[in-house]
Amino acid sequence: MRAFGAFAFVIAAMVALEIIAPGKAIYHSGWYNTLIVALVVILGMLVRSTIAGRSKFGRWGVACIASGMAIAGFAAVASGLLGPENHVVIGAPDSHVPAADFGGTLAFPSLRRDGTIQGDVSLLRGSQATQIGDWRYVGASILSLHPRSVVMIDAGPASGGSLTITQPAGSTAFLSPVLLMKKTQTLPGADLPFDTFALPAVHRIVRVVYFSAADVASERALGRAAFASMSGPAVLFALEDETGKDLPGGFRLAASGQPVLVGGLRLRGTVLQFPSVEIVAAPSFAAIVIAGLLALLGCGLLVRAMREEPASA
Amino acid sequence: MNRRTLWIVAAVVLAVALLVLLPLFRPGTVREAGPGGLVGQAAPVFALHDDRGNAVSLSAYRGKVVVLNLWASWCPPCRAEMPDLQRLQTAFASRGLVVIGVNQGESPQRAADFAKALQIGFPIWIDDQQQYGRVFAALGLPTTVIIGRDGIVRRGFDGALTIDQMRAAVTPFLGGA
Repeated sequence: MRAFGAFAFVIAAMVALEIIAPGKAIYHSGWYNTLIVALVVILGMLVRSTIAGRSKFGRWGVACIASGMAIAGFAAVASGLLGPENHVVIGAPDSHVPAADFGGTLAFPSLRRDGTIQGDVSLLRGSQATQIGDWRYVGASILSLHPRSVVMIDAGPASGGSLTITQPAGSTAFLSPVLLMKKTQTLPGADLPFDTFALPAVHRIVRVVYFSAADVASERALGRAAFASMSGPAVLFALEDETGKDLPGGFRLAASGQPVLVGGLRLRGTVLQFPSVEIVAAPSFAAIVIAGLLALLGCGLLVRAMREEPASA
Repeated sequence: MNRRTLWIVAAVVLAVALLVLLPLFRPGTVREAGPGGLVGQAAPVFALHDDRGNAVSLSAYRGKVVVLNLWASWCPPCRAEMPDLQRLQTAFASRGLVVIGVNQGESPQRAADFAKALQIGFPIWIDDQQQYGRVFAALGLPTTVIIGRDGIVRRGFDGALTIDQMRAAVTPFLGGA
């Protein structure tokens, strides 16, 4: 009985680890899954010797625990070997991003200029909306939110007013003043996130490079004069014409939220935090619930059997 | 455990195995890209202002068939489409159709001047944050979305429509009302 209990406990612990600390590469490794399978096989082999001489409740208790652990182990191996690799879904505010893994879409909330986020990230499947919260176990995946820096753009002519901002074809949202900064540009000494937007009304393309507060501090430490008065995050605007040619005098560094005039335009880039969704494979939620219930039932039956067995022995 | 019990256990294990494996092999549902992606879902409602500064919202148009046209003054196809949208509004207003032009990202003054120059009589809203453009996954401008009387998105179109295409698109949702 002790060996059976020990093997069952190890299987439960290995499966639980995939739920408590999801997304580790180890869960997709061959040896980890082979180990789970081996433990389940050994547990199965121990069933016959464990139930020998036990009462009816004892035999059923052992069978329930073994079945539960087999189901949990199978779910963990299926997730580890067949589940998708970890991936991050980045969506613009108010956008709906297809989430094929779930047969639905991820709906992202609104982002105000002051940085407040209105609403939650939700998984929409048909008419059903599931709020993700900080994290949520859905089917055979765990979804969790991770804030990332985005840049909200205000643009207009130097004389006042505002201009429509569009983003390049294939971006997450064509009509969005929020740049998601998914690309990386290598500048001397640093790889920095950047993004691009267009101002079709004035035939301009603007490249925006993001400097985090740490990047600004390191530039300041290097003695770069443009960063001397800055302490928080900053953005660099670089203007191009519609052919992609740099405009003379079209470069300007600005602190987050500070409007600047450049190339006849008034530009402001405000660095804000907006959630992305990390999706990692996990053992099927339904299978884990069934396995857990079977294990609980099995433990209950064993306790009852242990109460009865000394009397019947 | 007898043979019957073993069969029951085997059936349960098989059922659970299917439960675990099926989601992993489910083909991904491909959602239509662009403005048609929200068809069948409730139209998102944002608090906006019109070109005169009045607070406006889609929720005030329940019971109407709404043609929501996303546009900007710098967009030549938007300019070309506007007179046809006005004709559509005039032709079907009595049957409960409302055309709303939602300017994407420009100033109220610029939008108002544009509408005045083209003698547009339907409401012009200012979506300075381009929220409708994002939520309808606009691929470009103009983008047109038809919302039923129940507030559900019925159709979505990328690019300019002719008056015949507009008529054909809205007629099924107007009914005999």
